[in-house]
Amino acid sequence: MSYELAVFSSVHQVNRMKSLLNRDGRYFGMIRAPHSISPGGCGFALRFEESGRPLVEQAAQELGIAINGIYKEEKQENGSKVYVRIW
Amino acid sequence: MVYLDNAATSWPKPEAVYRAMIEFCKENGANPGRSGHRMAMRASEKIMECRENLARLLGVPDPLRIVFTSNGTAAVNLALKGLLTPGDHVLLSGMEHNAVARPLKKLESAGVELAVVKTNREGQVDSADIVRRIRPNTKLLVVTHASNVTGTVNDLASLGRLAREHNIVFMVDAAQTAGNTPIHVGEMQIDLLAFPGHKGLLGPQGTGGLYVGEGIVLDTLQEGGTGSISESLDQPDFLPDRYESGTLNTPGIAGLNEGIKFILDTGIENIRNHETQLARHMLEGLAEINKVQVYGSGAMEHRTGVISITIDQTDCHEVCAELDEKYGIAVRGGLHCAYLAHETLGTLRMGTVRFSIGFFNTVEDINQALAAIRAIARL
Repeated sequence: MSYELAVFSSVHQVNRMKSLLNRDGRYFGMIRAPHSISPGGCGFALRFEESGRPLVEQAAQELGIAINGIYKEEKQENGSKVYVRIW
Repeated sequence: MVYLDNAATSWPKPEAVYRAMIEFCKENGANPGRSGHRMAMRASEKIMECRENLARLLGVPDPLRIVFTSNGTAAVNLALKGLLTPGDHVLLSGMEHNAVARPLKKLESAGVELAVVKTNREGQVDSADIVRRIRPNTKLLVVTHASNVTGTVNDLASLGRLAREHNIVFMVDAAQTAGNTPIHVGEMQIDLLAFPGHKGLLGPQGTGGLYVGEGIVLDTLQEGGTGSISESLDQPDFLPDRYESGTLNTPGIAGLNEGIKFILDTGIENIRNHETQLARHMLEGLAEINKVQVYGSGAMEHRTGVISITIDQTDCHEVCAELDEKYGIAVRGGLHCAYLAHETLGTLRMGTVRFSIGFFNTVEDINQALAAIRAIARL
């Protein structure tokens, strides 16, 4: 299963997004955004199955919350993860 | 103890409020929005839950525009000092609490101009006087939703409309009404709404908040860590982070959340009806006691459960002490931190004895208070 991360500036923004998105039974988790995709190390991200991306984009638009970037999570053979920017 | 001091702070709180605070501290007391572990995440989720419940209760379209503060006064200070600059003109009502009047007085010394709008005898703001006093540099109209001295309620929808017509920012101090009287910031066209968490909202002391309407930009009174954009030395420009530097009172907010849930479950109209019925009962009883003068509106739709009285020339603090010591009734006497209101009512010299009814009061509480007042007034 492939996952994507949508990075936001603030935990409050992610919580607001999560609250809306999780209402219809799907699961959108929240994690600290990895440093490589959130330069200050203080960003938070929604983590979701890649099929959930349209819902995330729609929710962000509806709530007027800016997404700093969406990244595809890829696992390397050595177990580490890299993040490929989608937009 | 018969507790009739709910205008100072509500008591008791719903059991769930106490439980939530203890549970948060014992099971989940991490710092919200800082670390990424599960406890911290749960703490931040609790804060969002409270923000969303507040938004539901107050008709706020975007919960992220609710900023948590340490009390109502902190919210008022953020709004006034964040908004006003020298040369601005402000209209305030003659019933304002010192929480509003004192920050404005300080701002006046920095070049902000103030005008006190007339009220009628009951303490309701006179709309015609607002219009008369508007100037080209009038930036803000600030009114209390209900007086903490008389319980008189202002018509926010009408005042909001008036402010919008004249392109003036409309700010409301909801210290006495948030949680016991319906408020809808959208329908009432409120730009700034300051509220404590520990009165009608039934949360613990140390909680409060400010709704900041779309398009309103306030300067910050405090800057610091927000858990966001740490790579920048500039304060975030997005809400609520811009105004929430430092660790929030998460145990208090967890308790406040349960207070708000209690109100949403009970129904704010039911809460208002209960308090209004008790207030009516008390006013009817007081009307039969010689020597007692009641202040404020007699129309129940224009008042809350706050009732101020004087008993002839009897010192109000002596009355309060007797109510407490002899009858076990907790009330507040004096000027109630509301110099302007007492000046308007003509009670500056004596002050008043204030009874403030809450949702957990009963008819029996009111009967006990009336019996005690009858006995004191007979002396």
